[in-house]
Amino acid sequence: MRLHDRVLGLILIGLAGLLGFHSANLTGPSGYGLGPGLFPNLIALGIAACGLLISLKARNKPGPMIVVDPRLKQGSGLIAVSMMPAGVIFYVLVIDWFGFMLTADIMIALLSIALGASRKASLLNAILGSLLAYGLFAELLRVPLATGSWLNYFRGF
Amino acid sequence: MRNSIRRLKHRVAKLTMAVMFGCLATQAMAAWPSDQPINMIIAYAPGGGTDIVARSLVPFIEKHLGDGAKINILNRPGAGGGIGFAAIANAAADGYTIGFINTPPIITIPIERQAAWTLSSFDYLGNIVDDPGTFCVHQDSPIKSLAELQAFAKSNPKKVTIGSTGVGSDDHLAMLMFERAAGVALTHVPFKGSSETRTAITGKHITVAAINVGEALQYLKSGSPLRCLGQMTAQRMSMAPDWPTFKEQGFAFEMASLRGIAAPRGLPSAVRERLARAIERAANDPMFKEAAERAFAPVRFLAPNAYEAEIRAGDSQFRQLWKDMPWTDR
Amino acid sequence: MADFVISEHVAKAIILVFDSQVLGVVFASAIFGLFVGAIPGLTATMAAALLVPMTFFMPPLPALGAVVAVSAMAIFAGDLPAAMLRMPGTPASAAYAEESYAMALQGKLELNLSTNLICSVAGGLVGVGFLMLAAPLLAEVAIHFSSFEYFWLSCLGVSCASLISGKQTSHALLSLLFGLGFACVGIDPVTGVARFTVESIELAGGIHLIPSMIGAFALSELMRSSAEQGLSLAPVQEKIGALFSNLRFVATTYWQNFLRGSLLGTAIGALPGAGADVAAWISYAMAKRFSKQPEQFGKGHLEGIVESTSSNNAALGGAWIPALVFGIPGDSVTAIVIGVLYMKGMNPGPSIFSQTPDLVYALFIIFILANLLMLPLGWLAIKLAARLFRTPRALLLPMILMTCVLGSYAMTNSSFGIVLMLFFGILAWLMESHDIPIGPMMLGIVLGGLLEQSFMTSMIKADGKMIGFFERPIAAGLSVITLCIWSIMLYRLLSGISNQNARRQA
Repeated sequence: MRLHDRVLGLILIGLAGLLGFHSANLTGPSGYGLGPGLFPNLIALGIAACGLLISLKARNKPGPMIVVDPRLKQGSGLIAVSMMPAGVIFYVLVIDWFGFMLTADIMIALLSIALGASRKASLLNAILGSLLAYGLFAELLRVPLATGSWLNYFRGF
Repeated sequence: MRNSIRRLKHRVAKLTMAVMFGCLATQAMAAWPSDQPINMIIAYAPGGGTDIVARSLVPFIEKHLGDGAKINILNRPGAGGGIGFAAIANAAADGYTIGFINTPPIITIPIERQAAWTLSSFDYLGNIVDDPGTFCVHQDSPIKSLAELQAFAKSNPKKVTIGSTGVGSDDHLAMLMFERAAGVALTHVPFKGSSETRTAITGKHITVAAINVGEALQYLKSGSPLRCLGQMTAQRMSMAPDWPTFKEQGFAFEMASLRGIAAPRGLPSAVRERLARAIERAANDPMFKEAAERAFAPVRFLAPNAYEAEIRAGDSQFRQLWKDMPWTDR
Repeated sequence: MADFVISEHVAKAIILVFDSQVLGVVFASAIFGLFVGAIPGLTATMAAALLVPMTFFMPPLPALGAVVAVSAMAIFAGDLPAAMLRMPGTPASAAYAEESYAMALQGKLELNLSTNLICSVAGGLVGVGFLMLAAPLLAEVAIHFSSFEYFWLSCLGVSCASLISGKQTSHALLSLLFGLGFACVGIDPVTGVARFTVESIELAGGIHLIPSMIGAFALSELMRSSAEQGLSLAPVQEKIGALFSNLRFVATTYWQNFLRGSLLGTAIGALPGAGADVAAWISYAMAKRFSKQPEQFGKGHLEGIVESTSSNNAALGGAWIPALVFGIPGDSVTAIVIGVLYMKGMNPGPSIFSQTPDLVYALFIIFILANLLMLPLGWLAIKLAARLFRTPRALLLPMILMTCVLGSYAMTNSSFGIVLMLFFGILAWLMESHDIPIGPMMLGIVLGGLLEQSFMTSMIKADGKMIGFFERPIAAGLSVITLCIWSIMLYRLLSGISNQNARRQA
């Protein structure tokens, strides 16, 4: 997905404005006229200048305002690009509930299937992958991975 | 032939899942502290002072807890300790999360700004280290005592630069208290850690370095060209008998950095007592004391009630200081 | 007399090193480092930090040897996925990841990887050489770098942004500004004021480099790869055979780049606070700046790679210079090492050479050993990686996503890292769709904090007078260089506009 440079430039100027607005509220030690707002303000100025530059350079460039990759227009293309972020979002949402192993299995299996692997290969990949990741991170590197809270139901016994 | 292989693969997959389930389920049935590792949160980066003390202490806590307890150290640095402290305060009070808390940040951050905890968010388990502050100058500096520093600062206002480990750190607050007691104005140069301060003083970029006793001793032992002007304690520490205290030199204040262990409030009392006892035994373990001495960490164990009392006392002290001279401009 | 004493220490040191425990630990850590570095999402610093609990129970020499070996290997291993998947395994490889991948697409993967290996080993040895021979001298210079010098240095580093990325300066500048903006998020260390933290305690800690880098490089690449249906990953040759046959070609053609890269890398590593990743970025920019074929950069040209890959390994050795001589960490790995040293009763600082000389010399020998070990292990790693990364995309990509998620999580021990990764992944994907390079943004994040802090601290020290920035000799020198570069950049920017105007009017 791609916006025309003119539009991009305008968006950037808007962004810079937002940034400058927020950083105007940043006060600090009033010596030397500096403060925590100095750098953000300078950066906002810079972004606005870049936005202007980009917009002006593209003043006469032909082309539509938004170019969407034709592959994206089809449902499969959209899924293809968003499946990785979707996988990450899924992980973050369910990890505490399902625990690492289950979440990892589901995530890897579904992604593999979506990318075109057979169901069996995906499942095997998922199980192997989650076990390897668990071994490496939880055991060897001692990174605490969530054990699912669904297991709490068993703890009562 | 193909069908049987396929069926075999199916069976293997099912078996693996069953085994996994089994493992997870059996784990769930053991009791604290054996079933899961306990997470100890350190609010600073690995290799720092608190981190070293924690890593030295953890094996001893594990030993005295018994029952195959395991403690995992998690570093959650950032925001001057704020991230780690918030993580401790907001964790579930089930005995699987404890952490090191440091004064003054644990007290001062809620005074400075909206924080994710208050002093009542914790169950205090025991203090381990009490590291007072010092002022140090470069060996080549003509300043040899606090009085000379005061005189120099009076005749050269704002020329005396003093480096600290950050805005709101114990070093910064010590500087403010010295300014108040000595009636001088110093220029505060905040750094992001004691190692940056050390660089600055070694390279003579600042006049005075405000660092803790433990750090000063460490640096001196490894040959840094420093001279300590005074320590901010009530009496001279056994580790540093040659340095006069600030009180002796006429500046009646103390500043220390307490590093101890706390858990989110609401621990089941059996868990809390067991932890507190294990920590007390670990801190008094002669081998730990030896390790701490080697790392120049001054150990002063405080039991939970005494610990909480000192923290609350510090809270009133700092709130008063904030009223008189707020140390961030907000 | 002095010679006798030194060689006596060296002899003792050799005995210390060639002990089965030490060698075993070094070897195992090297393999661990290779593994960690090759996985996008895990980094050298992470590997060292995670080794610390294990080094706890070891005597000092194996403990140090482990950290040295792990970091040296990891910095090299990060080049493997950079070339094969366009995902740098460590931040230090990010500077030339695109270039390496471009080479791989042209079928020059073997050349790229063998060059990376040889230059990494040689660069590392140069770094160690300086460490051994000139540590006190270099440290003495490094200690004179106050906030003023750091300010100009970070200005220079940040200016490299315009040099490292392709086409339009305005886009590179924009990317850099984004990076600098992100570096402002968090609690300002100079004033204690919270900026852009929207009441989130996690954001108060600032934007962590590693998760954002993983997101920007790896996640965005994963998104791109999954969108390209039917296109396989970089066609990896069947045989990665004679890796060392390219040695002569590389040596004769690019020896200047190698020298400049190693020297600059050592110097940057020796500066407290700047490590292998900064060294790689700056060296890549220098290569482009001094190249006779700058337009080739970005299209699969070896020159920049030679310079930056030797630079980042040299920086590892350089980082130990202030660490040993002053006890001041030269980079994040040595910061951890210093902690380990204190725990073991070794006191890093001026007196370490007199108090424990045998251990110091033994450390040097381990350094050399670790770098030499890179040759066989690296060769093995290349062969294995080639085979591993040829796994069908559908199975490989989700696994890589898994390690990215875990790596981001491990750095912050919370889901915040994962969220950061997600954000930067999507951002980078959008940016690249608009020809905005992501390299400068990463550079901005890395150097932004240093830039602002050194500026503010300097202003405080100079009492608000700008002249203070030019008074100290080193600062003055750096300022001249920086201002020259800025004027050249400005000139180019403006002439670019006027050229366009001229063309349009014509």
